[in-house]
Amino acid sequence: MKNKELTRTQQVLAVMKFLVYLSITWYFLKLVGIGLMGLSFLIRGIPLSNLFFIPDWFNLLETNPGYLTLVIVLVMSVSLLNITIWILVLRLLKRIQLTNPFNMEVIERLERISYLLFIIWILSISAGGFFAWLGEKAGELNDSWSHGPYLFMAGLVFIISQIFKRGVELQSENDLTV
Amino acid sequence: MPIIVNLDVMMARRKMSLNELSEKVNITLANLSILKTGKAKAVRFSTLEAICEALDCQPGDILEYVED
Repeated sequence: MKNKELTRTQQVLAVMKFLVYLSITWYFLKLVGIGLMGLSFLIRGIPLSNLFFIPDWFNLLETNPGYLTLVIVLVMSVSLLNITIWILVLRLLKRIQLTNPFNMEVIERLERISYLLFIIWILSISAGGFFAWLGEKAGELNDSWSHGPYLFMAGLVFIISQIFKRGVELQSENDLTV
Repeated sequence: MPIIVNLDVMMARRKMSLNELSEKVNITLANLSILKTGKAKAVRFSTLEAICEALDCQPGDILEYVED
């Protein structure tokens, strides 16, 4: 029974790794799209639009080029942070050993992920407020900001890291029991 | 730590090496070493029983309390 459970957990971890790769690809393409838009804006003074992964923010340029710059920087920052988190998650999934999951490396990675999620939450709230204000000035922007889940995830991951810390203490006691 | 393990003293009295004790009590050398060097956090009664039987002694001969 234990072997069956171990195999099933390994299968779930394998599926999770695949989904993490998909997420990294998604955010990377978004980053590249926004980056191309920014580059086009810098070189030609006109941002690219109506292309796959590149949102249509042309109306922002007419309102104020500075707004477009700020929006590009905000979206790129959030995308970059998301990619960083997913890479940390991938490293965590690769590093975690089912025979001995409680170790300091896993705890440090979990804590780092929770701090990054908290930073994204702060950034998302600021960006969401800024987008809402911009929407009134420059018309509707077709990019949505959901920030609620980030705080929830940050809290959840932090709690899990503390539980793992206790797990390390218990594991150490068990290892040193003769 | 207030609890001191005098396993090496008893082993010397009985002229027994760590390898021999490990084979007699069926505990790995690594675990016996942890016990001998005072790094152990806890000792199971079954382990204490096996060691006392192998060394023909009392738990008090192996474990000693010294105030900090």
